[in-house]
Amino acid sequence: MNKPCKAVVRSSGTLFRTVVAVGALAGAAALDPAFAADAAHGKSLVGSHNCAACHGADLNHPITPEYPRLAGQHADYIFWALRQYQMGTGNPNLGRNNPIMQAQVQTLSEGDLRDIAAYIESLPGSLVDRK
Amino acid sequence: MKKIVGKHVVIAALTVLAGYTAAARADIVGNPKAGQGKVAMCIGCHGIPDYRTAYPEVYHVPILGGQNMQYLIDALKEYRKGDRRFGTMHAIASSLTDQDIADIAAYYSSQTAATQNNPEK
Repeated sequence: MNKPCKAVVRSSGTLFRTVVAVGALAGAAALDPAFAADAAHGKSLVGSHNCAACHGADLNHPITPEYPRLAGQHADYIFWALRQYQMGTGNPNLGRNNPIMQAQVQTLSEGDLRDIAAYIESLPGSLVDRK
Repeated sequence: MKKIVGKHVVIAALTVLAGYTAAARADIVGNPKAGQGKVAMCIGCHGIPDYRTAYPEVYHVPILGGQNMQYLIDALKEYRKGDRRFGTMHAIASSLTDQDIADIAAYYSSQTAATQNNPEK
């Protein structure tokens, strides 16, 4: 007699578990910086860290030719370059030795670096991929 | 008289100094045309659209075309010296002379959106 009722309870329990699982996955994706590079946050970090002071207002016209154009560069390369400035020269196989850039990136998290990289890649620039 | 000699000496000294500076700067001049024949090793990675390196992380190798010449020269010399650490680039940069580096940097920095792919490769 109360069989249909049990069935309803069971199926709503399944539904609830499904909702919780999906919610947890979405939460994990949002927390993982690889899935959530936030170019708008990157833009504000680029402003607060004064990147334009050397790399140019549009990040495409550096103030001296010793500095690289950044606008439009691959985000994953920019992220890795910034990570290597953070590492410095402690590791014999990885890292970059550059006092200016090392000082710039020390306080940034990996998520911050990915956000900056996403913003840089989104900018129009004069870099071109040619053989 | 003493004043005139002094003036000439100063001018002569400045001319010699200026000559030294110009000579030092003109020592190695990158030639994009020569660079075109020296980028065979570069193209294997940087000439393949969407190419990614696999070590130590998977990421796109950087776009070089249109990059600043002096930056490219400095970067290659840093890879050669070890101020930038990346095994493949260290090996390649170590095989290059200063003139090769200047030519390659001139080649890539001269590229624009209108540049065709390297006809020699």
